[in-house]
Amino acid sequence: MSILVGPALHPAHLIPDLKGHSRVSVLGELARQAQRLGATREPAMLRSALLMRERLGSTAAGHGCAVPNARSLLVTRSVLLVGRSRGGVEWGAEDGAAVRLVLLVISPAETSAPGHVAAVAGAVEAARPVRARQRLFDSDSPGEIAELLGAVRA
Amino acid sequence: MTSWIDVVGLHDLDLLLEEARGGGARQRTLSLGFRLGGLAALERSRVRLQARLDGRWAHAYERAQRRYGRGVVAVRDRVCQGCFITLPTCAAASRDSLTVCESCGRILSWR
Ligand SMILES: [Zn+2]
Repeated sequence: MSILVGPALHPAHLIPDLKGHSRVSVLGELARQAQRLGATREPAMLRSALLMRERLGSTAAGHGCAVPNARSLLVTRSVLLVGRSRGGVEWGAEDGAAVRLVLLVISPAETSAPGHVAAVAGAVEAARPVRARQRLFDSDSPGEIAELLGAVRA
Repeated sequence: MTSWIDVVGLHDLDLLLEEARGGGARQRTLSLGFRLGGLAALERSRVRLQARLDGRWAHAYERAQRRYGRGVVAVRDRVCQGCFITLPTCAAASRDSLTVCESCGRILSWR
């Protein structure tokens, strides 16, 4: 298991103002960012894998957070990306809240199912405390965001 | 004709179904509050996707899936990530073509 976020969040792992207004467009935006980071060469197919996961059940975790995720042959290394939407995006959440914080977790196909789900759980749990969630919504400090997500491993 | 996209799509869907069907990964996902109500629809998608594969590739996929739990493996630096044999240079066909590892029989993903 390796830590997905180092001592400071690399700026390329944070999209502070997602342009997309729908789940599909936001997932496309995040998949393209994963491509820029060298974590995939196939952003369109990665987006399809992420949408397949959404068909299984929404990845909205409540309180304005979502943790879309995929394990895929098209992913070359585990990555956690943080995206924030000022206007919020409809994500099929149980509590009906629009999603403002998106924590994308992608893992290579070699990752075990429990290993991948553990990384997803780490992201969900990092954003669960009210205070931590608020800081993830608002903070511009890569160090602080990294500290909040420091326990997420894959 | 079977496309590389269909084979990889089937593989990634199988990874997702592995998480959703049972075991610790499913329990952990449910304990996080996620619903998995789309499982039956995804099972139907799998049937449709598998039917798109030609007989030869469907057979190769299912045989490797049964034997190793994965029908397709990635190739990294010309090494099959299933059996870790270095593949011959001539095996590296175009990225979109389908090939099988001659050592382990898994379908290879060159991307
Ligand atoms: Zn092999």
